[in-house]
Amino acid sequence: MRKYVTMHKATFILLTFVLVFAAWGAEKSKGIADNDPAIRRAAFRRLLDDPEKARQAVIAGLRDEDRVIRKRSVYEYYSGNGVKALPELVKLVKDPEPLVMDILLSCGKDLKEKHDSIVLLSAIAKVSVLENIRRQADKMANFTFYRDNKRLKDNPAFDHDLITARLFQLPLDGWRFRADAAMDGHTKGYFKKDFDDSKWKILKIGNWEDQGYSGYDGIGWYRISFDMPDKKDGEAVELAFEAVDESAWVWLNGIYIGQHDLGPSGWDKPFWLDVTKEIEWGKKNVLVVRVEDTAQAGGIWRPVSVELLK
Amino acid sequence: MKRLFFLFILAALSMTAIAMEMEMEMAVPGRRAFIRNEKNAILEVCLKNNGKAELDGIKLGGSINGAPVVSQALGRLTHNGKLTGSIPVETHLMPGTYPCNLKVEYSLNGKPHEKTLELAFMIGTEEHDRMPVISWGSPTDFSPFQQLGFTHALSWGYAHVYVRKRPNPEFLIEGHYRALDKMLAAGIRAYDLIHVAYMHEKYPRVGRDGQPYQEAHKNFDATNPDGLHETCEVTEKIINAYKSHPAYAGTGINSEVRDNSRPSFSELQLKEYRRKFGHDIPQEVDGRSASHYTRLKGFPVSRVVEQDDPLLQYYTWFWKEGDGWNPLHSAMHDICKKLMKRPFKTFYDPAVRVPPVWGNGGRTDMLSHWTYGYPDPINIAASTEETFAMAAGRKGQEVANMTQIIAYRSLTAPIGNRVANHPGWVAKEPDAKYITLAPDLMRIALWTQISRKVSAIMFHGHDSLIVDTQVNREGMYRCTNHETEKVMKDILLNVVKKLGPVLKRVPERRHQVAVLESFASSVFAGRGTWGWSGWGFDSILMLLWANLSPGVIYEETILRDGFGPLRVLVMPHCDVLPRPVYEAVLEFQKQGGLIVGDEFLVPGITPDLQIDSIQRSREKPLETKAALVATGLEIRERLKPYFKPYVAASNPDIVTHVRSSGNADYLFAVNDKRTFGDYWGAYGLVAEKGLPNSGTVTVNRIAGAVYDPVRSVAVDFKSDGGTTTIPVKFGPGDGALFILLPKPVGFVTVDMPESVCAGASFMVKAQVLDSSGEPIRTIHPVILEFRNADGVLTDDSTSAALENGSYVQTVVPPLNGKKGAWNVTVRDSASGKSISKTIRVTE
Repeated sequence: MRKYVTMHKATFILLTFVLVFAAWGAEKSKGIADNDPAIRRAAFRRLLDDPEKARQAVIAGLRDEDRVIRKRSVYEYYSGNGVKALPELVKLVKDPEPLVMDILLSCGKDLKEKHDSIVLLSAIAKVSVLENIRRQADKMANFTFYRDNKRLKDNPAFDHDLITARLFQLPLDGWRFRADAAMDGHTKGYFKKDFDDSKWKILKIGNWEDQGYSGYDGIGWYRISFDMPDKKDGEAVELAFEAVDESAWVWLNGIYIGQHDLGPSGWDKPFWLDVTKEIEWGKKNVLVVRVEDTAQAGGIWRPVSVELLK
Repeated sequence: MKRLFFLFILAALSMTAIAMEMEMEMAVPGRRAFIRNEKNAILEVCLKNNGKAELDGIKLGGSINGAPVVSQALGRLTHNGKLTGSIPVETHLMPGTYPCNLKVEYSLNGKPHEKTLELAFMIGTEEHDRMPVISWGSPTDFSPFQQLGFTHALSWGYAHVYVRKRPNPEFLIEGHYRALDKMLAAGIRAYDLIHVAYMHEKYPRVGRDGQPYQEAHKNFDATNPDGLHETCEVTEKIINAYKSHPAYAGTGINSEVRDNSRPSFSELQLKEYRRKFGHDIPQEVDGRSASHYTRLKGFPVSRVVEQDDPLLQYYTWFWKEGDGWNPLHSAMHDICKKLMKRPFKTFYDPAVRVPPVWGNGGRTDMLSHWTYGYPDPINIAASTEETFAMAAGRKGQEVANMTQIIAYRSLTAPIGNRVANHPGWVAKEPDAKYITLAPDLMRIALWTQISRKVSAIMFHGHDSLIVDTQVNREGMYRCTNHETEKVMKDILLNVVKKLGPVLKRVPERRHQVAVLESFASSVFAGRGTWGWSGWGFDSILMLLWANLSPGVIYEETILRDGFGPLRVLVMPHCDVLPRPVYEAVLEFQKQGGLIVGDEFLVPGITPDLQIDSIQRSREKPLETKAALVATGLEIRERLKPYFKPYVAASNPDIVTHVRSSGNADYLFAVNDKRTFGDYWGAYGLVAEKGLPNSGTVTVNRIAGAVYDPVRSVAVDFKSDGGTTTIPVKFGPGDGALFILLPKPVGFVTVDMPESVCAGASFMVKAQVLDSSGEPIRTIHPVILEFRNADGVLTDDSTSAALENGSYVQTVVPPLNGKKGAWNVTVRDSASGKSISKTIRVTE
């Protein structure tokens, strides 16, 4: 009888323990399915704080209906697994949320081995439903030129009006051009100042479709040399592009200046790039523009000028 | 012949007389104006012996306003010697101009001589506590500005004497003293701006190549020891030259100098950095911030950086002390304080046109920041909150704010833009580049300015307010809207002047909602509002329209003070965080704090509320406002289950702010309902026309009475269930202030003696008691009016703030005033209740 009671006691204690533990676990999970995102996220955070449940929560979180939980889960999953996370991350590249895709891009960029990085970025570039993300992934995988070109007028610390004191329009004709279907011109040094472009075709400002490249959508490179007069006083110098169809990456004298990279919607938008430091006064300058066109007409189709600002 | 001899003698005597005149030179180059009842006032008389022989037995005498002569023996004066004598000045006189006769007696070669000088001196009005209203730039005749309600004129002229190394400084300074005399007499005070940016030519910052930066990047290397020495020397000269004139009340210390500040790679800088941190300036350092984190190799996916990350460490050092400006400003401030033996204010403006890190302006007494009243005039609330965050780094540092009277034409009504109907002013001012801020925008901005606890309010661009007919300023700021002047006059006189002492004093409440401005994100992601723009800045506006009364918090504030009573932390553009801040935010959330994050937030923080950033469209200001309002209201709605804000308004165009003193709340409400009008509206860039608005404002408290202190009346309200709701009705761009008290005002009392002798002082003690007869112990506005025996309001009359239950004022009836009964009235500005008593002023 005593034995029976003792066994009963033990079972009771065990049962109590299990129940308390389950209740504790349930308490932790409470709210994870709540419709209020704040409650849901708080529950998710509690699970992450629990070493026993964190891993499971992260895996479940990768496909949670809440984009914020998915973002955090991708981050946690990658942080915890590194390159081992790759197969699972590749499965997530169709996520429709920029919030999630941004962190996937970051993971792709962070992977130590270039091969691994390209696997993830290429998958994103291929199947992401977000065009902007696809383009970013493609560039991160294949083309890494980027510069945050800050114009003086946009400098938040510059509280003055600027006017264009002088304008030097570059020639409308005589631009050397080469289509780059393989998208590897940058690896061949097309942007270098002393690159030999003598065998390239000569185009005018205007669509390349109308100048022998009918139907061509892809990358095209433009090069032109121009002389600058002796130094003039001013606050800044800018390259002014009235329009490039669609995206442009710009080098001056072999130095990467910046980009106009809005995708198809950028085809008719003017843009300016600060070249105060890079312009060479009283000398010959070489401007190189890599243009990407994804549909219909493409190329530098409106004039380009050098503007002196005061 | 006899006649000729006589003429010769006459000529000789005349020559001798002239020579005598020239032996002794007497002048009063210093101040000739005094504050009424000023203690120990003296007129300094300078004597100089221009002759070759020694002058002795020098005795200086002076008679002020016909009073008996006061004499002072000064001994002797050798060749070219100088002496300064002093004549005491009776200041217990009515404000006005009085004659003064000076006489110096001396002997030359044993013969007595004398020289006289007649001049006028002035007694200015009593100095009272008031809200300084400072005009940056001073018109030739300041009186129209004084009539508008301006109290201070900021000029560049004083400092220029030495900064610009003007010839004949003594002559210029004496001219300035005469101008300061007039200001003192009129009750105006002068500020100055000591601006040494020009020194970039002599001490330039240099790039990695060792060459000075060019064009817009030119900047004075404020770390250069010679440059520092020269700056301090100039500051010392300026302060010494003007310190004896009390109308010279303060100075700005440089302005906009950090706009072009960038890393300097002089040998000295390189050595200093190596000495301090044990390693070289990181190779990646080039500009004012690091490369974008996406361009930095090995930047962690977490976007959490260690506090000792070399780039973070460098840029923290650079913006706090390394570029030299903050230490330089401290040094200039210290010189002012050391040499000035009286109250004198130093300030730095624009204070938040730098990344969000403490230290800008150095040890200056006050930080200020200017912004523009467009496209959204409540901008000034956002930049003032940012300035509070900056000033939080230095205990006791005060805050001021400034609205630009000017508007950039290019941003409001661009020249060359084709519109259907050009407004009338365009034909008159076709080429004006800087025009007048629209009146309704000024009204909103000004109400917003005073809603915060600031020590002064400032304005710049006086030419755009009133045309200075005495100066030809073709091409400068143009006055294109005369209504703005009327608006300013209305608010400055009826609100700021009436309530100034209270507006300056009532404390801010501790914020429940704050926007984190991340320094690390400024460094690694190019973020930052720079005091006026970007998503970070707009997110403050968003929360203002949602009536969440946001503050601004820096990373340093979190690390030093924690989160205090903060309930909601909004984190726009927080792409990168230092680890201790990141961990503190996680802990804040664990303790029940709520996080609102955007798409840029570091991935390791899961916000309770996710919002998408809003990109401002310059061409669609109302759409931008609508988007920000919608997101703000959504935040408010979604936070409702977890957090009850202290104040609410029935529509988002009523922007509220509450300050509190004890159990009194000061509720400000501004009507920001606007559309496109006929001044700028045609261009579609700024909705500059205010619209009428009405609704209710609600505060989470019980009130026994609500007053409008501008109109001095009790207003309707409903107080139950723990809240107080006040119906409001606004004209275009209008604002209102309500004082909420637990009990109504009962009555006003005043204690003072029954009689006093002219020239002697008496005390007036004013109290406002509530309906139960207890003195109101919160900061509370009153007006004291003194009418002399002629029934004329005297300059003793003033607005004041009751503190600790009473206000005490010392009054001295002037010696030369009419004797008889004075009438003293104390008026409670909130309820309008008053009490009057008389006092007999005798001989």
